[in-house]
Amino acid sequence: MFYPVTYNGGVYRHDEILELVEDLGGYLIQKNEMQTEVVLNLFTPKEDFGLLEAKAKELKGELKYAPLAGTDVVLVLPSLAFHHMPHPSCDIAEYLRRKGSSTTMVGLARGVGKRIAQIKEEEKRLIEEHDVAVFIMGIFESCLIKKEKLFYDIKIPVVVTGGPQRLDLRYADEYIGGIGRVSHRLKKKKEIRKLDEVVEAVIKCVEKRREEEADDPLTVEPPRIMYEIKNQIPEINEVLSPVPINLQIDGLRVKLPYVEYRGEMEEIKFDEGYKLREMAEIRRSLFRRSIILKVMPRSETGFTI
Amino acid sequence: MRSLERFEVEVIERGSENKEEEEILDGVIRDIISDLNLTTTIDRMKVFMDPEEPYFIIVAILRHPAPPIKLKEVAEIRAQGGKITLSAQDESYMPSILGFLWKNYGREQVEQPERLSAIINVSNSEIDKISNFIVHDPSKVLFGNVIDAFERITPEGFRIIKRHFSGEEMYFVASEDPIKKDWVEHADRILMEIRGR
Repeated sequence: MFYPVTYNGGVYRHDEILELVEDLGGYLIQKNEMQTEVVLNLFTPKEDFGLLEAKAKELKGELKYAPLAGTDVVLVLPSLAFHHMPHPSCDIAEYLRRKGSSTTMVGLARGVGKRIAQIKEEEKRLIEEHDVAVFIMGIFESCLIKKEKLFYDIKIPVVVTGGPQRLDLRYADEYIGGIGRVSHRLKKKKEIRKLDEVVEAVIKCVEKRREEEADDPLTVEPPRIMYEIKNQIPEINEVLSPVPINLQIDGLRVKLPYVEYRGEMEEIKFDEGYKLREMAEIRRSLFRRSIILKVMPRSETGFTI
Repeated sequence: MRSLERFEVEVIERGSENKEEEEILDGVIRDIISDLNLTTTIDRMKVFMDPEEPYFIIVAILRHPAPPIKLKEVAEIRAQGGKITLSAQDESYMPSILGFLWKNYGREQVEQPERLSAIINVSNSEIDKISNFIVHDPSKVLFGNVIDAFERITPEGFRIIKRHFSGEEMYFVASEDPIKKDWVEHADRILMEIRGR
């Protein structure tokens, strides 16, 4: 079982951390270099965490548990108009990213209104490509209850934020009240507490999914696939996207065109002698020219590596 | 904060005494109005929302906007030997002044020796026309800003809108369904109510 952590420190000698993680059998998920600072999202084996901590201390860096590292959260807004953007949606997204998650924002085509609100089948499938969905809703209770139709059959966990403090939504896994429509940056103490609550709700959903997954483990851990893609498909290093490979709980999204790379992706070899196509379902992602991989569980393939 | 008490928000909440929806909407309105610098231009305002029906009403009475600014108020204009010289005090009006001069006399007649001044090669009889040119009309800008604020305040899905303007008074009834007569009458009643204050 991997332990997700974030390393915050100087660029100088940060490669020593990377080497150590590689030696321990961990993985680098994401690297952000900002002038003299570097932020690394890492997966490390839980039992060797102490070694990494000692190294971080030696380099005067900071090592933090990042419960959302390696997860892909989607924020769904009724639309991308100024009624919802940039506050509170971007504030929530920023908070999730601070905990290591990678976030995507989706504005529905016809999500506005009460009776007239709709969601397209394609939008649902796009949302279901992610790990957890956060629906950012408005102020009015009766409107929120009516708008349950937007997410009642979404197969991934759903967190809803809205105006009323308490609300019983049948189809949402978590509801966080007190964040309705906001037209200013959330920076008061009370508002920051609400953001923390949203993050906690997302963490709860992620942990629940990880627990469920532990009952029927994945054939191969997604970071391992990421490592092999980086080694066997060199073109991935030329992708300009900030995160060329986006890790998820049960798979990953690779930002390479599906038509050209599907074949190569299927043929990725592992040391144990298996090929990727035996272990994962490779699909065209609805997300701009990319490939989505969903790793099959042991019950389907009959083995784990 | 005194000036903000002229705004009132009412949300019908059936079955609960809780006023939280009203408070959040009130916060949104205050943010938008202060963002768009409208605190001094809106004299009285009332917002009403019925989330069940659903419909939304904004009624506002505006203050008299500041009078239009004429060129002679922002620049010194002199007639000198068959030419008119002009020197402005504020750079921000220069684009509009030059635009006016170029359009009326042609670019070749207008010299601009430095940033804040211009020399116009026209007869001195034109001086009145130039002096009375309206450089900036706050009422035009203001109206646009008020409409912008209303659209930001209205819930996004409410795209069927009935607007009413007469002088400084205005209302805005919005819903996702065709506007009913009752709602418009309700807006009229609210207007009467705040007019009497």
